[in-house]
Formats: sequence, structure tokens, C-alpha cells
Amino acid sequence: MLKPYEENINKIKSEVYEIGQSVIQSNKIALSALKENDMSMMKDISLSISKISDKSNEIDNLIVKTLALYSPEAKDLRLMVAYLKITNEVVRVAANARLFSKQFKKSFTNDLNKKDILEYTIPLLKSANEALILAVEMTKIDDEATLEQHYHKVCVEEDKTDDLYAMVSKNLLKLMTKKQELSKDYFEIMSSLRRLEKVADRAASIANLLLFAEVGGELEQS
Amino acid sequence: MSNKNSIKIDVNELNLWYGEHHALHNITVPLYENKITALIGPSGCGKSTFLRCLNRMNDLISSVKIDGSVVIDKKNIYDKDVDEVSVRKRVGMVFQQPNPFPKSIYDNVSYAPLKHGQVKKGKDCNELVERSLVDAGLWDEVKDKLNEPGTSLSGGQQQRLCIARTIAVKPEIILMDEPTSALDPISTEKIEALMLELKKKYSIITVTHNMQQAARVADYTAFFHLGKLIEYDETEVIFVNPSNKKTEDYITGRFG
Repeated sequence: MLKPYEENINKIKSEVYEIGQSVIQSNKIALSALKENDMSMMKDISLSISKISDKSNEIDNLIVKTLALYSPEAKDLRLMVAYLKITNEVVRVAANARLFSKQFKKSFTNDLNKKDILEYTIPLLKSANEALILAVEMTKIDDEATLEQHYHKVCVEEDKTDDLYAMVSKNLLKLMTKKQELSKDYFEIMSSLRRLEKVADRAASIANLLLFAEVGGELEQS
Repeated sequence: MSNKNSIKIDVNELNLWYGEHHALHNITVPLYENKITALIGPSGCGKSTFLRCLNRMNDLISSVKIDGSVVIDKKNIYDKDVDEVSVRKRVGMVFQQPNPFPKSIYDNVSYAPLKHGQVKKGKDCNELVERSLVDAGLWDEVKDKLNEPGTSLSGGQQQRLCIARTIAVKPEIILMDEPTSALDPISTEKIEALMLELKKKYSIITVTHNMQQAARVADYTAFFHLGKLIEYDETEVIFVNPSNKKTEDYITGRFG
């Protein structure tokens, strides 16, 4: 492999890893805020979707350049195609994470039953972020067996977020029927939590694409 | 095309005729120092002819007539007071077929520097041979058999021996005319990696029919068609966003 080609591949991988980390960090701050029941901590979330979008465009252009100049084949071609789709997934993850923190902070007022909401929201956010952490770590793994292990762990976390979201939705619907005057606020909380489920879905998609890059087979949209 | 690189060869309004046939039309192009420039285009487009103009190799063909200038470090190499042998010492050349002399590996490398009086036999010459073979990425493979014939090496090794022979006379510019077209993919990759190393010390101009090779190694690419320079730009621009339709059609395999 020619050195400039190898450098491009490493740059693509490390920049995707970096933007993934910025989303993970913002989720961690949100998690601490929920655990401390202190929404003011969410002000430390400095996730800029436009910056992530710009970075993603930069990476996409580097991928196009690498495809044009080095004509990658087989595993290398799969890697390029996978990363071209992954950048889009990361932007969507970031947008969902941002919307969650913004919407939840705005809607989580003292009038609501905070205890019941947080009971499942904390594990939901934890699982969604864990799925993302595992998926982003996969960018640094070259070994097929370890990648598959990570992929299965991401799928487990994604399933957990589905289940937790179903449980928290059920609770919220109960709370809405009890206090109909707060149903709009509860609905907005539910809508913000749906974003976390989407974060996990996108993380599973990233993991799936990275597995495709390593193992091959058919490219499937998850 | 804006550029901050320093120009090594400045070609201005270069025209070449083979007898009545006008083979190169008003070629004006700056070629940059410590960069690899690839010349691409269909067969007969004039890229090899242009390459040979850069070290006056076309002077050897009696029917050739040239006008315009090829300025290297502020001196037109076609000026009457310029000796073509001194030009070829500064502008080395590697050909399509590896063509080692029917001599030992050592003699292949030492022949020209001894002839030019750049070194004398002995320690200095041994050092020059070793350094040239190291720079050509061949030393480890041949250090124990320097007295064996150059022709006993594999095709890829012979081509690297020819590169060692070229750099032994300390040129400033290396011209390569399809240097890997006779080689297998592994030897090709070695030569390409070597080109990327060599550009740190030399300016390289290479002719290639392999567009992927141009894309992989060249900093700049010039596309020739029917003796005209159609487009010249950074390789990335040529292969991602060419501005001329002919260039786009050629690199996407629609003609040529």
C-alpha cells in the first residue's frame, strides 16, 4: 500500500472517530445531568451540528478524492463506501443527541413526575450512548472476531434501548391520562426520548457498516 | 491554476515536427521542483515526444525540428551554447524496458560517474554505488552479489538498477517513460513507492498509460491529445473535477 493512500485511510478513520467522540461526550454530560437531576449541567453540551456537518463534508470529499486517486478494490473499496455512509450516520446521531438534550431540558419541568420519567430515561440514555461508544470504537479495530463481538454488543444495547423506550412510553402514557393538563409536556418528553432510540439505531447502522467493510457480503441499509 | 511551488522546467511555446508532421503544438507548461508530473493521453498524442524534448533526446532524430524553449533553472537547454550531454547529465532518463548494460551490477551504477569524472575508482566510487543502490531501494537485495551481471536480476530489480544508474550521476530531474509497463504488480508497487521517495530529492516527469498510476503517484497531471496539451492541473483536480470534457472522457475510458 502506498504511503499517501495509507495516510488518507488513517485520516478518514481518525476523523470519523473524533466526531463520534464529540457526540459521546455530549451524551455523557447529559447522563450526568440526569443522574444529578440538574438540567443546568446540560448547558455544558457544546455539540455543534453545523461543525459536525462541515467535518463530515470534509471527510466525504477526502473519501471521493481517495476513491478517484487510488482506485481501491475489495476490502479497501468496502471500507471507503462504508465510511462514506458512516459520516452521514454520525451527523444523524449528532442531530438526534442534540435534539434530545435540547428538548428534554426544555420540557423536564417540576410539574412532571420526574421520578417515573428518570427511572427508565437514565438507562435508556446509558444504553444509547453505550451502543454509540462500541460502534465508534469499532473504527479502531481490524480484527474480524473482535469486530463481530463489538457488533453483537451494539445490537444488544440497541435492543435494550427499544425495550426501555417501550417501557418509558408506557409510563408516560399512564402519566398523561392521570394529568391530562400536562399531556403536552409528557408528549414532548416522550418525543425527546425517541431521539435516544434513534441514536442507538444509527449506532447499530455504523457497526453494521464497519462489519461489512471488514467481512464483506452485501451492503444492507439497517 | 495558482501555485506556490517553484518551477524546475519552464516549457514555452514548444513545437516539434517530424519532417512535415507537426507532432507538438505550442506546448506551454511549468513543471515543478520535487514533484511528480504525469503525462497521460492516448497513443500517438505526443507525450513521449514531449518527454524526450526535456533532455534533448529528440536531437538524435535527424528529421526532427523544434522551436520554442525548455528553460531549466533560467537557461534554455536549446540555446546554441548548451551541450546536450551536459543536459542529459542533469536530466536523467529511465525507459519502458529495463535496459541494464551487459556488465556487473556494480559497473552498471559506476559506469557513468566514472566516465563523467565525477568519482575515481576506489572508496568514493564504492560509496556512490552503495548510496545509489540504497536510494533506488535495491541495496539489500544485491549487496552480496555486486559482481554478478545486471541482467541476472528480475525485471523489477533491473528497473530499479536502471534508476540507481540514473541517480548515480546526480541529476536534478528524472524522466520516466512508462517505467512499469513491463513489470508485474508487485514490482510496479515497489517502483511507485520508490518514485514517492525519489521526489524528495528530484523532480520527476513520467509518461504512463496507466491512469491509476498517474492518480496514485503524481502531484500534477498533464493530458495530451493529438499533440496538444489539453489540460494540466493538480492530479486531484484532473481525476476528480477535470475542467475539459476531453480529459473527462479520456480518464473515464470513453475514448482512447
